[in-house]
Amino acid sequence: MKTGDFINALVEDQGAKESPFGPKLGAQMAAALAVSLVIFFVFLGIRADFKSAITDPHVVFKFVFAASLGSSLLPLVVYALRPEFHLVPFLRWLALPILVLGGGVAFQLLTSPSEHWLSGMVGRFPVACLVNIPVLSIGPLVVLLMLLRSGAPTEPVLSGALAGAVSAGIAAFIYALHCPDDSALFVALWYSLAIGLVTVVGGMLGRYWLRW
Amino acid sequence: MKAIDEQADALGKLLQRANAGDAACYRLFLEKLAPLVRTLARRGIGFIGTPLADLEDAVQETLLAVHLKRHTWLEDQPIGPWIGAITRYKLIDLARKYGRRKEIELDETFELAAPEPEEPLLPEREMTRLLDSLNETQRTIVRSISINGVSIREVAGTMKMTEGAVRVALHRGLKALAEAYRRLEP
Repeated sequence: MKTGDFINALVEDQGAKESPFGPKLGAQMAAALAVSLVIFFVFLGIRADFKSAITDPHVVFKFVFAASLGSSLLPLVVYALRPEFHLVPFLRWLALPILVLGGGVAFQLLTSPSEHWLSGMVGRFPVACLVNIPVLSIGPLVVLLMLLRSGAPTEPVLSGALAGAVSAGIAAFIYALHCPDDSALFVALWYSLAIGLVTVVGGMLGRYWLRW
Repeated sequence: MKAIDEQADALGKLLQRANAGDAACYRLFLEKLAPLVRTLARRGIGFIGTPLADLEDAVQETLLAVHLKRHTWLEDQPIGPWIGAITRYKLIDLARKYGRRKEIELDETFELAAPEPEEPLLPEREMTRLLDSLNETQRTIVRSISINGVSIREVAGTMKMTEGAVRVALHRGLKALAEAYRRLEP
């Protein structure tokens, strides 16, 4: 087929294209959140002492950390839809959640006696953390990967990994409503591991699913 | 650099009008884009010494990618980097694929023989072969619209389908072509 002929087909296929930046994005995100929240309320539920716990800065820290991770990287996932966008220079935005985490750990070390550090870090339910955060991140991850597929990410692995990290941030925020382990050292170890796991899975999926 | 900027500017205006529904502008956009991509493919990224047919495959594949991803260009952004990024992404991918082919050897005379970015007389090979991977309806539609140059309406008439159905089949066919091309093993 000659290129001039091939262009005929492209021109006929011109019809209106839906922008991935449109209102559908909001609806998809809402659907993803709904999936995670349903899983959360069916299998986990909000911790019984939530009302008193939420006044504890250690508990608040978990939400701040999760929110800082998700909100600092979500714009990058949206940028990744554009082929000309180079993601790597923007990875410095990761400094925000890392600083928050560092601050939380410092606060923990200052406010608790050193003999509690190890028990706080190991916590009571580390396995639950490692399972629940990835499970809760499935919905958001699928939606973000679908979103990226509708765009033109030229860095598929990194884009997928970012989608994983954002999903894990969302999942960590939801899981923090349930999680009874309140030491920032627990967050630094287990939350980070769970988030890292989802990030790696996102990158692997991106490698196969986001190429075009 | 100025000439390139002006060229990009013109392409941007064309695509903007094309996105607003102007088919003639879209045709012009693609026709102006093709030689640019051809030059890039010929000069760069592992394509030197590539048989003309493979080069034209790369051009068509890149045009198809631009077509399928054209909604990711934001009209308030410069179009040059956008086109460059898509072309680069496709060409690197394709060069990797062709790089493993035995038939490709560096041919010094090649560049001297054909420096103009004009469509080679030799027809490309893969796109025709890839058409066979589509289902019959898609294949007939893509073929008649491209090679025979008929419109969607005419195809709908001869195939006894609604225009909407032809439109959908054409779009799916093109997406399937891109996918098949991507999966193509050297």
